Amino acid sequence: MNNKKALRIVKKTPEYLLKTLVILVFIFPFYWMLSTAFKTYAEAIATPPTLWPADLIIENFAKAWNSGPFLTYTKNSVIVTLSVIVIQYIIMVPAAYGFARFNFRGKNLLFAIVLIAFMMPGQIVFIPVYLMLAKWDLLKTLLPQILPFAANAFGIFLLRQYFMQVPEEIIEAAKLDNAKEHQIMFKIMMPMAKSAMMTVALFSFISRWNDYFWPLVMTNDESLRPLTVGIAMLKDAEGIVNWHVIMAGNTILVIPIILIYIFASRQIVKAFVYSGIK
Amino acid sequence: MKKKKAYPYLLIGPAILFMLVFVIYPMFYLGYISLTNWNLINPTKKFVGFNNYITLFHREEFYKSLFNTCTYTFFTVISIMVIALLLAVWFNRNTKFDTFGQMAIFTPHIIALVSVAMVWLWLMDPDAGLLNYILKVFGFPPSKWLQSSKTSMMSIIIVSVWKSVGYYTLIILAALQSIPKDIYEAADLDNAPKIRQFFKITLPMISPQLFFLLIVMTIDSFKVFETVRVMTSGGPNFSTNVLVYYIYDNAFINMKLGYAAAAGMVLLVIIGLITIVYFKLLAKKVHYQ
Amino acid sequence: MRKIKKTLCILLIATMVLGLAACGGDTEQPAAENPAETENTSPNTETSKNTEKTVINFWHCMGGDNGERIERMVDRFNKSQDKIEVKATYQGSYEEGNAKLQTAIAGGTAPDIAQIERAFVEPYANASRLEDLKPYMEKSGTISPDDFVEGLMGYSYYNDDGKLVSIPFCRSTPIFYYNKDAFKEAGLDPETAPETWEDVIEYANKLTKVEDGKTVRYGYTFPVATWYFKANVAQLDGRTINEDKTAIGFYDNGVGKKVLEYWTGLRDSGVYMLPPTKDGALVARQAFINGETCMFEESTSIIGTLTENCNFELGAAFLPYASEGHPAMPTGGSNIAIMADSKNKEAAWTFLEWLINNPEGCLQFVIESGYLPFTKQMVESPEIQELWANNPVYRVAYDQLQYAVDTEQHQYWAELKSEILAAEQAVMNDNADIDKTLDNLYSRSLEILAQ
Repeated sequence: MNNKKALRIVKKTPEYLLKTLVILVFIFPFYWMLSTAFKTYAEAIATPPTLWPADLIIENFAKAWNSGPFLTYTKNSVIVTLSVIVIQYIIMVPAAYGFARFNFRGKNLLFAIVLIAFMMPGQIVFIPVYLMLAKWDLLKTLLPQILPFAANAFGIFLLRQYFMQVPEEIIEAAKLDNAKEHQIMFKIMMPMAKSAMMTVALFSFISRWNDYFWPLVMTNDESLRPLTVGIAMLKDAEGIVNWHVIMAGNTILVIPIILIYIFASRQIVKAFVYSGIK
Repeated sequence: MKKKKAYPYLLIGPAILFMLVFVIYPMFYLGYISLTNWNLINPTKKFVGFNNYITLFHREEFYKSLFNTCTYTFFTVISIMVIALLLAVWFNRNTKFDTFGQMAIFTPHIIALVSVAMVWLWLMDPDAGLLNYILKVFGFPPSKWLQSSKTSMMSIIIVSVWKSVGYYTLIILAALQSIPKDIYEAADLDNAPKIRQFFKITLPMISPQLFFLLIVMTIDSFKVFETVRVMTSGGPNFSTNVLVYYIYDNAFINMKLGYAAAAGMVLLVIIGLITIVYFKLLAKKVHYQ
Repeated sequence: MRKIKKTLCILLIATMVLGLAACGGDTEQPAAENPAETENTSPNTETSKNTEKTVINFWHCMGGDNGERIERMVDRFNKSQDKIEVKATYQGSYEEGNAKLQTAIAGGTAPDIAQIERAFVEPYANASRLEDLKPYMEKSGTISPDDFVEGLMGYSYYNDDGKLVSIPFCRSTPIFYYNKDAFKEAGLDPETAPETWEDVIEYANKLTKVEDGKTVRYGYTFPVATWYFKANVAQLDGRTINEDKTAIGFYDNGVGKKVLEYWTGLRDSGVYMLPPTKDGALVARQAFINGETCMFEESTSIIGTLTENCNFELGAAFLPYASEGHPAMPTGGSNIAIMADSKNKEAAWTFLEWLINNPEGCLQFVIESGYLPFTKQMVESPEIQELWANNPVYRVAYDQLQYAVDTEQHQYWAELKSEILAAEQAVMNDNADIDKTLDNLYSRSLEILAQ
């Protein structure tokens, strides 16, 4: 028994070594960001870079946080991100279900609109949107950071793909039990696509939380800005680039994402267990 | 009966409404701007017909940026597809180590590229960079990476693949986990080898997601902007100038919005055509249960 | 039934969240929760207290320490009087700020005052978006256009009718920095900087250190950017754009070729470190601070940083020039302007006037940041004189201004600029043929400038 186990470990070692190598390749810049956040300026720009900070400078975080109204930035980031996710779900799930399960006139055209929404490059599309929102006098609110993202084309497309995969027999069986359409959607489809739904939520969270250009363009006032804009302000256009403080700011930005990731990936695994039992 | 007919429209109505307002209207607006010589700050705009398009199709840089975008898309999509699939299958285990591995692969996606650009510059330094050191150890000649037109696009692709492979790995992982386990158990009983299982069960089972990913990756690659802006600003000598960067540059730096909008319209048409081809060629081959 | 309730619940939450979002910028909400926070997040509250206060929006592009310096300067102004409330808002880098300002103008939400990178002044002036400041100066009588430092006025006058559309603000020039300790070590006189290109090559050879076939210390570097190219062109009496504004002004006279041959010569000699195409200035700067290169050219705006971070004695001098030429260099940075669409131009001018004249205004910002003083009064002020006495490097930067030449003002300069940069990269990075590259650049410049 013990021999067998030992043999298995020996057999597995090269695989684990290789995996560790792959992990290092991906995580190194992340680690670099984290360690720079604790360095002094001189150490931050030293070549070759030091792997471990000589002294742990915690003040970098305080400096980043105190460089602007970071409490307001955080509040805005949270409101915008959460609103977008909630609204997206309300709009996305029925739409994906509609596209996956029904045939109706103009379906291809309407689906083309979804795809176009995904194709539009944000780098120019913001101009007409800004002009429109300025006309509606919404620029003094957080809505310009929320409404344009209410319909998530990527999410609709992905969920549609999953909904289409749900075996027809299950739906037929439910229909025989006199299930209503919305019951099928909520009780059958959504649980079966749980891992996909968590994935979409995670991606939405990250893309809103990390977005910089859109909120910068859509806000003319500090009190409406999210964390990313506050952190971008740490970088000077011409003078010195305080890498240590910038990295501290970016670390602050990343922590919530890591937490959400851990939560979401657990849910994705749970979904796996669920479909395994079934 | 009537109610039944309206039902699907009710379901997708809100989504379409938002898209009409925030995507389709802006698209037509930009289409209209592309027929003018407007630059946002001029009080008046002059209608110039298709002049912007004519100029566009006579500009060498436009073709160069189009070619660069296609090269980028081709290699990025293939590399990400293969690597993400391999990583997903390889790390698809419910152990602590593999879960950590999944997260590690995902980290490049969550940190702003600006904050890791300096690491990449340092890794890809032609003189003292780590990558050239590794090449040397394995007996390969050193590369100039981002600092030469010959290798700059390849370097951008490497950074892009590194940055987004985790994102797609996660989607594939989610897809893998929705495959019912009993299918594999049945295969195990038949003593089918793992490789065969992969091609006979795994691939067909997740083919809808892979098809979806192919479209998403292609569209996303065509829209590449941030990596180029942060790593090279389109240089050296325009060798990494891609379409969206070209559009942005013309709209806000060169202040020729009409011209940029024309390029934007052409970009939309190209992505649209590719997507239609995908649907026509591949959609039927996708396996649905 | 339960599902419907659940849906209703979600809808309710969504409405609430939306409602919260809609009033996120509203001042009352946070004020009720946290009165201390109100002060820095919502200046509007103060407006409601003193209804007669005019609010002036001022958009700038300064991040990091300089951003904080701007905030402090604006605070000083706001405290100095009770009629005007200036709101300074960061709008991203120069590029982003420019994209933003254009969109805001089109949307009718532009600020009253904007910081504009000098290359973009011309297009805004052409579109009549910038207010002529001359009448304001005449009316106030405290400052006249002649009081500004001449070398910095290249982007202020708008050619057609002599309008004064912007004044210097965060201005700089490239200068030559060197490591005095390394000079001593190499047996060079630390008080004599190289004057000509030939000197630089000679010095660089002495300063370069090679160990085991690997260069561990370079003699010289400057980023491959248009700024340094323009400097070298001007030193040989070339122009960036010719007098008639029809083409580049360094082609027919062979100046461009001479400069690029000098550059490639440097690169091939092995004493010059070729910085990356992106963030080249940043990398060159860090290499200099780390002692990996001993002489380099960079903006005067980083004098303070270098003084603070170099653990060797810092020297500065005018940019080296070709021995058949003369000292010359372009200026850099950004100007400040009042937008023509502003509804509060008088108040905006009051702020600008304070910036120019008050020792608490730009003078203090200039001293803190290291940007160049831009009026004669500032230059003569005891504060600047004291700064120069303590740190002679600042004095070098100012003295060099007598040789400032800016010859690229044009509506489509930005477009031409990226072509010039591409040509430099083609030669320096890809080793392209200089003649062919310049031929191409020349014909492109004809097209661009004829638009």
